[in-house]
Amino acid sequence: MILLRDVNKTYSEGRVAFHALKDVNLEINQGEFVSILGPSGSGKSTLMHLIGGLDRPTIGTVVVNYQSLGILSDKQLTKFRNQNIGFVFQFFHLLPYLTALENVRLPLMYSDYKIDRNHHAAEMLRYFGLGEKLKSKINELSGGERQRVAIARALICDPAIILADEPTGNLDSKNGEYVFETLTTLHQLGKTVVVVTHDEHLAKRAHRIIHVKDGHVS
Amino acid sequence: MDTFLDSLQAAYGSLTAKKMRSVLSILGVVIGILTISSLLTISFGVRDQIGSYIGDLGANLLVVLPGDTDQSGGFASQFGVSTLTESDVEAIRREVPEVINLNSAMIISHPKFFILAGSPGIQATFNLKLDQGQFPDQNDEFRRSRVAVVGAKVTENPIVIRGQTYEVVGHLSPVTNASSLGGPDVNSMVVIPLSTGWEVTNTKQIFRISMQAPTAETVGPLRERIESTMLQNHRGEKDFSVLTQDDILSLANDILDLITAMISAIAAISLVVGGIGIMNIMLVTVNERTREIGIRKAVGATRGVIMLQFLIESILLTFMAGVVAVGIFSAMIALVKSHVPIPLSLDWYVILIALGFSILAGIVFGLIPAWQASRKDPIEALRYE
Repeated sequence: MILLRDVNKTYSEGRVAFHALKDVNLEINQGEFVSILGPSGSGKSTLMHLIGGLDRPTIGTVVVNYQSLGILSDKQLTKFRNQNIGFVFQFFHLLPYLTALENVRLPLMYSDYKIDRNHHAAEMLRYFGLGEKLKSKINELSGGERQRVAIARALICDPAIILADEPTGNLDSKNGEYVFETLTTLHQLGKTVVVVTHDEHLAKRAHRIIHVKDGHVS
Repeated sequence: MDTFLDSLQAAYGSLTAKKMRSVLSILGVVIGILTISSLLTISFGVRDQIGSYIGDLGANLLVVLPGDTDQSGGFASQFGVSTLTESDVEAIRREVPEVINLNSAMIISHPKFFILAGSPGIQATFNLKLDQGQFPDQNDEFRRSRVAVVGAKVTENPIVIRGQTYEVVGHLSPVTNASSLGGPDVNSMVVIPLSTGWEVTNTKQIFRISMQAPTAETVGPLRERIESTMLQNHRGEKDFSVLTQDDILSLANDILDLITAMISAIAAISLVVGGIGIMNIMLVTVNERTREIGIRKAVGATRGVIMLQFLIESILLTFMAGVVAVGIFSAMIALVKSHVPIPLSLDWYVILIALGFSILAGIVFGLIPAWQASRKDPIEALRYE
């Protein structure tokens, strides 16, 4: 369950203040598949960052999985992200000097899970058809393969919520379709999936579309 | 442990990705560590040499020197006209009869030889061994004989000192590790009777009175009695010092400590300069890897973990510098050890100190960059181009 109450986010640069989100009230139920749709600069990425605990609202309350994020310290918020949120980014955000396996294993390194991390990460990559690429460096992988590695990394700690920011933005249609189908499958497996996109066609494939424009949610 | 290994791997990956930069950035620290290691080894070598020279002197040695080494004048108070006289020797002989090999000596300047004018018994004090012949005896002392015992390097016979000829009556055994620091070179030594020395120089100077206690346990009590006898003989004015072998050693070490401390300060400056270079490179690295920091924070790395990662990277850099410095230093020792008079060896504690300093430099100069990395905002870090 994701709940935002009277959330405002303002960025200040010198004397100029930019209101990225204005009085946002939003509720996303557990297990829902939601698209956040809006043009560039509308505030949709900011919304995702607040839900994911990467940022804090200027005013308002954000509750995720029955946990109010505002009362958490930076360290607690980091742990919360590690355990509850899986991020998929448009530019993959993988570490180039690590192998596919090491990239997927990364969140486990910061978690308290007492499991065979290498084995678990390898299994995850095999699930995404990358069993042959475990030891490949990121620059040896295609764009589609990189995004699959990124999804595997997002899922490695078994988070309840998947937040995907323009996950198909850097992919061709075939790989984009694969990624979206994967997200659909994850939803069917009980995950809450929130996809941020400016592509209306993709957004319509979610169960609900949240429109963001000029910092307002409708 | 996993986080540590991951940090180590990240650090290694980062350093090997920019090899030339890594190599250049550690140069300053390499020079700093090299300087520290060299100074330590030279200092230890000199200490060993002085220790071995003093240890070679007769057992349970007691020496009376002019000037008071305990006073602010310190070592310098021993220069100038000697405050020791023949009557001091007689007073000790009378008041402290237990001492053995009581003798006194003066040093005479000569362009070629180290001339020691000493009364009988001087050979025991300096631990001089005869190869052939005999030392000047009491008779020679009384008659002011022109006789000399010479070191292995002295080949002349007779020898000429200040226009007078001396018959060589004995040869000293050759000494392989002739002292070059803190003591005379036995191989170029010439020993003549003290009375002869007085006559030649037209003075009655005594630069040191030496004697031996019969046992190690009596060194302390005898020293006190000698001191009180001397004080009485000098009408209460303490213008002399009574030293044991340990005192001589500690005096030499005090001087060495001072010199070592001064040169270490210079070495420390070079290490600081090198360390600032490391800090600079680490600040650049943190800036370049801003996005990586954002990614790691997004997936669960706390500030502490990020800080640890960059601190490990900085320590790895300086540790590599330490290893390189120790390697170069070992090669230097192997090359020069046979060409210098000081005994040089690569001691494990010098290696430990060198590596310890390199790790310390990594911690000190990596702290600010690591702290900066840990404070980066994840959103801004993820957006960093």
